[in-house]
Amino acid sequence: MTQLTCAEVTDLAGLYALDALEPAERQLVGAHLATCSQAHAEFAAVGGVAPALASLAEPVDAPPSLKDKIMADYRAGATAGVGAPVAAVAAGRAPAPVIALRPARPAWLGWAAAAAAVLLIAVVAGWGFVAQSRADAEAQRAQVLAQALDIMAAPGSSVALMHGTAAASGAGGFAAFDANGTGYLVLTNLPAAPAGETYQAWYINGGGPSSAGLVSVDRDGFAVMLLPVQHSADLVALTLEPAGGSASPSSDPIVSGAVQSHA
Amino acid sequence: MSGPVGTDAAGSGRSSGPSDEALLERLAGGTDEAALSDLYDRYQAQMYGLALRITKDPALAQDAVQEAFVGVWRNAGRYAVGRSTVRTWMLSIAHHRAIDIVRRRRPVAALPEIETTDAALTAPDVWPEVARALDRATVDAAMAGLPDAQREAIQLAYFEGLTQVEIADRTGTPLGTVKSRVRLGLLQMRRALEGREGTA
Repeated sequence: MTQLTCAEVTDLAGLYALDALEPAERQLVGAHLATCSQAHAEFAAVGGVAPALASLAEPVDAPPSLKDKIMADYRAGATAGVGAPVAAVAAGRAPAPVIALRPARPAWLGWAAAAAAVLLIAVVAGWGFVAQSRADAEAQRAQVLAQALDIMAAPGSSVALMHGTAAASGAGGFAAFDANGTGYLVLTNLPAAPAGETYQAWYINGGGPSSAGLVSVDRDGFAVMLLPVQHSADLVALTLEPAGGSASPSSDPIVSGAVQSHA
Repeated sequence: MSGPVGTDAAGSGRSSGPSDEALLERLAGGTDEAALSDLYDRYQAQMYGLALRITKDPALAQDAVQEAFVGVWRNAGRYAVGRSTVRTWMLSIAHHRAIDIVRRRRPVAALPEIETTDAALTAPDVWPEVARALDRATVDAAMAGLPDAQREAIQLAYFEGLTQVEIADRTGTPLGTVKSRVRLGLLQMRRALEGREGTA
């Protein structure tokens, strides 16, 4: 997967704001924004305008039956006990994406593979609780996850199994780096960052920490992202930082894992 | 946070009662049908009108609004006060769902999941205050002030759900030109809309 330069990303600001990028390109822009040290203020500039375009559509009253449906969806979700109600789950029309674990794995994976498999079961189970409308997006995320798994299983790769502590004690996942240092981060059960704060990933070695970018957590507590290329990290860690991120960690890691290299 | 009481010229259709932010907070805090009902009453016409314009089909527009409300209550806790108005936030979700539905009916990939907290697009600045005062005529005038090619590219993206490649195909324009038309057009609109603040 190629990476975009700041200039290329800036060129795409308008199309990004209007949701007019092809998914792969949108993902590249998102990955760049999540890891770039530049502010890319142009995104905020055009991002504010796009929603104003909605005013150009004439308001039209929806049929009264629509409200009934929506309220019924809401009630169904609420009684299903899901913090965020999902009608489609109640209606039994939310297939979970199927993620096939690779049948043959290099022997070195060992305990790492077992742990990852447990994680994946949790991920797939989580994905069962999605509305049909999200199926495409979930499939896309599954694809990214599959890429991460490919990297895990590839010769010369390295993996950090990540475990949460404190407020994120239920969080877990892994960071996987291929032989070129390209990495993916996959985490589940991350609580939403407190207001005004964001998760930031770090590479840590004897030379100290360096930022690996801001981590967006989706509403289900999943985070799947590309990581910047690295070759020398001993540890991958997440901290909570003030919104916008920090130059260096200002709090203790709440999710972390040691990078295990395999020849 | 007092909310945009009575200043939402684009028309929340509301003159009293709890602020939008308060309703959203109640939704985020737990099951609250009354809060959802109020938000629905305030914004259904704008959301449905937008979805109808995009999908050009009442059944699809209803699907879009229905899906959008799932997004609203699921993400109520993630609405970032001060980064956009609740109205803007809800219309953005409706837009996203409508575009997604339109694209699912065409041989192109669907949109990724809603990114309602996309920080890059909602950096805090004066814009929410500007946006709060915008009405249809103002936005229309700003749009009308754009060069034809920029206006066309923005409309194809926003109201037709075309991707950059499809816009390039439709208009017989190189991709690079599409990128710059959309970006420059939106920036010009922003300047125009900001310039009108206080004069509208």
